[in-house]
Amino acid sequence: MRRTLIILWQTYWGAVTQRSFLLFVLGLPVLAVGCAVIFGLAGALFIRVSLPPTNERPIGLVDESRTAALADASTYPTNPVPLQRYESVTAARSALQEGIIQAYFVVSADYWETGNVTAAYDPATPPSPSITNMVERWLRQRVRQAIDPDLLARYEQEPTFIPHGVQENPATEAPPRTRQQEMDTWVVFLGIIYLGRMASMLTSGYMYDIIASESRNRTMEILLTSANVREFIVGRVLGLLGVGITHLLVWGSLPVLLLTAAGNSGPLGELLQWEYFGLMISLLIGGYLLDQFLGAAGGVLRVTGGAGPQLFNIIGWLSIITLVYAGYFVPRAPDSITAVIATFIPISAPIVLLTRLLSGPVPLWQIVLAQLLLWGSLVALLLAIGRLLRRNLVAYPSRFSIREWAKKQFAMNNEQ
Amino acid sequence: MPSPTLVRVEHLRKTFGAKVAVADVSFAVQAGEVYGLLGPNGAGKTTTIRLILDIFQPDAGHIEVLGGRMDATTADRVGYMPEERGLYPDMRVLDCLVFLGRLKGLGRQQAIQRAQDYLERLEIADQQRTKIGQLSRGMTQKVQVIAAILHQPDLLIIDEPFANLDPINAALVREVILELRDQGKAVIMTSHQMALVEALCDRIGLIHQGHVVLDGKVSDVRRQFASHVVRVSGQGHLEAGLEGVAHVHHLPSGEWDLFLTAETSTQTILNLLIHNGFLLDRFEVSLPSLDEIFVRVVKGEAINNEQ
Repeated sequence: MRRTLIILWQTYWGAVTQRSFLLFVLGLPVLAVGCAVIFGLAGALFIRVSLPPTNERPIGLVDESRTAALADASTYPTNPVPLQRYESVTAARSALQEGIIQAYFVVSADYWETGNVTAAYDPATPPSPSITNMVERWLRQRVRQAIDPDLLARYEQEPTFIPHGVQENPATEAPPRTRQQEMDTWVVFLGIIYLGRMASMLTSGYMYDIIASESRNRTMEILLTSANVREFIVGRVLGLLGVGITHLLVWGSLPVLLLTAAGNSGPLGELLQWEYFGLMISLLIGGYLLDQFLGAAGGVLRVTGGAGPQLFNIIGWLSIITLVYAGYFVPRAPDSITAVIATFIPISAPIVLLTRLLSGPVPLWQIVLAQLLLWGSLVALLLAIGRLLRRNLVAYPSRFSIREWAKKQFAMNNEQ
Repeated sequence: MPSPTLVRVEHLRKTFGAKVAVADVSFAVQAGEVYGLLGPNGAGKTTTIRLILDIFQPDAGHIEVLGGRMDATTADRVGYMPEERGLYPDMRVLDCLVFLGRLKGLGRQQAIQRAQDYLERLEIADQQRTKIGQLSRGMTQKVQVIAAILHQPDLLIIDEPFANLDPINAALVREVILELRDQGKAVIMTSHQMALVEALCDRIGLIHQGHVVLDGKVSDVRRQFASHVVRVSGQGHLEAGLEGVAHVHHLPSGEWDLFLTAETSTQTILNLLIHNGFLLDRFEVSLPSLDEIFVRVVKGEAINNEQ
């Protein structure tokens, strides 16, 4: 235990004080925010410079649809220029010709069927896009106002599926969630799951480098005369778990701060109350350990000059493909054959199963089997790494090569 | 009262696939003794050390370290410096020593204090905040030596401790090793620098092709090989075809080394020289250096002669 703790702390402190770690973990969010601000400012400046200056004269509105919602003058926008109502196209055209207004918009009589709005202006001085945007925003807002509130609410709320035979008590039910709320929760859940997986993949790279370097310069040989393989691996993995958590805390605190600042911290609270929260933690930790063990195995194999880098690259690419697959395809078809198969593959299980759970119900047997396969593979990997460490670190056995290994397997099958 | 045996190795065997790394190795090391484990490259020295340290499991044979099997408690009483130097290049010297010392059971403050004392003693105290990767090879090696002895082990195993050291630093390290010996600790060292082995080791074991082919006190081993070389000087003529002499080597000093055949005794050759009228100024049974013994054994001369 003492040795495990010493190795844990050395691993943790050594990694988090590395310049590359500090630059990556602290620098990337700063860089992201900095880039967003710089590009935003540059874009705004570009638009301001490239577009013609906004004409200060008002614009006119003629409502041939005679919609009541468009008649209320108190709702007319004034920024960047005031909107003025005219009773007829003739009056508006006169005002344009006299230079009182710079343009006028005619809401057609069949607007509710066609959505047509005609714009009239001097082609030499067209209204700027900000004016067009102002009119568009105002029109959408007024149209929304004109829709029956009950109808609008029903449209915005998802249907509530009530299992057959189960009595619901409407008095105790929480108010129905809007589509926007559902979307916020989904994005926050998925974001946190993705962040966890990415932190895990990053620290597996550290594990790979540390083990490869210790093996190459024979520090491992000294360590193995002080601690056994179990103490060594557990210390390393827990140390890197701490690195991953630090990474998550730094990166995770940013969206939390942003959500809290935006007054929308609800999804975070919901995450803690999610019925699959425990399962999520188990899958993320399982996935994390799997990444670390694979990193360690890759590091050991790299030393023998064999398949270490190949193995690690393949696993790295598989993980990235899984992230893309889970983020885009799984929510669209959560019960497809591919999604179910990916649920049972330990390397893809954490992200795919959690995305499926976010997208809809998953049969219990699939959840249980996925967990068993993930944790079972971890035990098998730990045993295999113990053997690898002893065999490959301090000896010079024949080098491992995927090609040679495949040849042997093929030859054995032929003999049988 | 004889010193207690701290390491006992009996009929050790270790193979890697078809390759036999250690065929049959037996030796013992007592407390207060420096034991030189010698042999050509690939003889099986490092594998033997790794077997003693429980890094590998032997295929056959018996190992006893500090009175029993190697376990966690025993490991804390053993210091090890491998031939291929292993330290963290990105760590500072003091931090690395404290980490390794703590793994061996030292408290943090104790490890810091001892590390600083040894750094002072080996004249690299000013490097304690330097990253190991920035040190010279010699300095790195001194740090490595400190890492191996920081916890004042009862058994120290060092592989080629003088490989990168200049004579001044080699003397510093030698002093530390001898001090451990004088404190009653056992030291097993390997080296190809036979002069240093001769100066430092009480006993040696020579491994060749996985077997121990020589084992004993340095003086005994030299004496064992002594009877076959005689150094003479004087007036007269020494013929190459002298009866009982396999080979005559004329030295720049004007002296001759006579390499006797296995059946010829030094008394016989002395009588023969007098009988031939050679006026002797000097007749000395020459003790071969360990270097010579090493070469002869490895080339198979000794074995052939014995046969």
